[in-house]
Amino acid sequence: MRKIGEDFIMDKIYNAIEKASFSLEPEVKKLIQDAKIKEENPYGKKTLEVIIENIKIAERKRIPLCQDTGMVVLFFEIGSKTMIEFKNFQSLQDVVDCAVKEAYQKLYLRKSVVSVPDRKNTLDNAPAVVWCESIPGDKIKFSLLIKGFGSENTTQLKMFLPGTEQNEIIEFIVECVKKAGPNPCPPVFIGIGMGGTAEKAVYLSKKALLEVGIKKFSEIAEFEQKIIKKVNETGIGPGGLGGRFTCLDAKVKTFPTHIAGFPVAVSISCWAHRMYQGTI
Amino acid sequence: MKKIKTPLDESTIKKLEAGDFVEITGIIYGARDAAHKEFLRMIEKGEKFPFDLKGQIIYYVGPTPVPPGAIIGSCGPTTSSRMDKFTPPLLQAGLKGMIGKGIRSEKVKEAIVKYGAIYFVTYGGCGAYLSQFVKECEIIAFSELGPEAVYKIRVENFPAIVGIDSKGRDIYSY
Repeated sequence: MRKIGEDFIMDKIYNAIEKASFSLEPEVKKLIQDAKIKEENPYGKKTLEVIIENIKIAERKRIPLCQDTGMVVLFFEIGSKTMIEFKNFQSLQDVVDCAVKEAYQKLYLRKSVVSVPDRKNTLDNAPAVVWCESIPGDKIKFSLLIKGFGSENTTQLKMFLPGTEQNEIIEFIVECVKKAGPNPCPPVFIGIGMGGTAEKAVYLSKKALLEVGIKKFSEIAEFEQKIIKKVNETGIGPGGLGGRFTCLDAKVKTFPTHIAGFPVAVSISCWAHRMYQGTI
Repeated sequence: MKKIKTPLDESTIKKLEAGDFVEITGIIYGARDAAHKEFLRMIEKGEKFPFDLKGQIIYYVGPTPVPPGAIIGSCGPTTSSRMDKFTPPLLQAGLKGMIGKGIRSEKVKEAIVKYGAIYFVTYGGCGAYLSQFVKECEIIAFSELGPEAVYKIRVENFPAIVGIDSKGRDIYSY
């Protein structure tokens, strides 16, 4: 059993929030930069130029990339040979929430989380959405998503029938992006979850967003390329103002499902795709 | 590039067409969901408004907190459609412009034409960039709403694009 201190986890989460709020991962930046070079629509091109300038200013002057500093989502994969030593905290949720509270206060990030149903601001951006899975090994892997709600509000789930063809799935994804239009701040990243149960599909679609920029060579990679091509044929473009680049990447994650169904979920992230992955 | 000043007058609005790049200089008012709900209540009850709406622009924004020594935090536009139901009464009360991102409803478009107003869009997610055009900023109402308070913002050459012009032409109609 490998013992891991709660403070150590808290520091890692705090640092991840800090990193993701002010800068983008190199893969994400590269996709944006490549799009700027290739975009021909004057509005689309101008939007991409401003986005790149925004990224530079955010990094240099330490201003949050976007004013919607989001709701924090954390995916943990906890090694079965690890043991978290809790002293001051009751649970992993408490550890994460403490890191969130500290980060949002100290880093001047916007506190956007409200209670439900009375919608009172919690004033510290906690709680975070925390997911835990068990994996073999003696490490804890974590993935952070800082999710703005311009894009989160465009999430969709559809329970397809077992006989659904691939092109119907693609049509559904394209419709999701069309319906979202300029609202999720295109060019977007698309996460698709296929299979499992309804909630598993949505969960997978979020996890798929963490694979942005990673090159895959498989049958699913071909499917992803088809999705990108079809979505970009809509011409919605950067900022929704027209152009070739409506989405910069699409990733699919699958899970076996029931003989009677086929859940498909689509999660969209804005161009400011704030994610961070680490190992503890 | 067309340079415009606030408050907006009729001749300025008429000259602007959907798709025009503009730079806005002057005072604009930052307000989003919760503040709009309050605005509507104030109009219905005939209460005194926190600022004179005549010719003014509302920017749909909820900035990040201001660090020491800064004027404003990150301050990009939020999705305008959430303010759709509050917009026609505000236009009727004298508001002339909005800045945000995304599509507006048909009702908003009709109200824009009816009251000779204009809708600008600016760069979504570019709050760090857009903060560079803000020269002064203060909260003037509903400070208890935090990021949803009403902000009086002085901008210089704030970049935007005409989204819906006074004739109802819409940049997003693809």
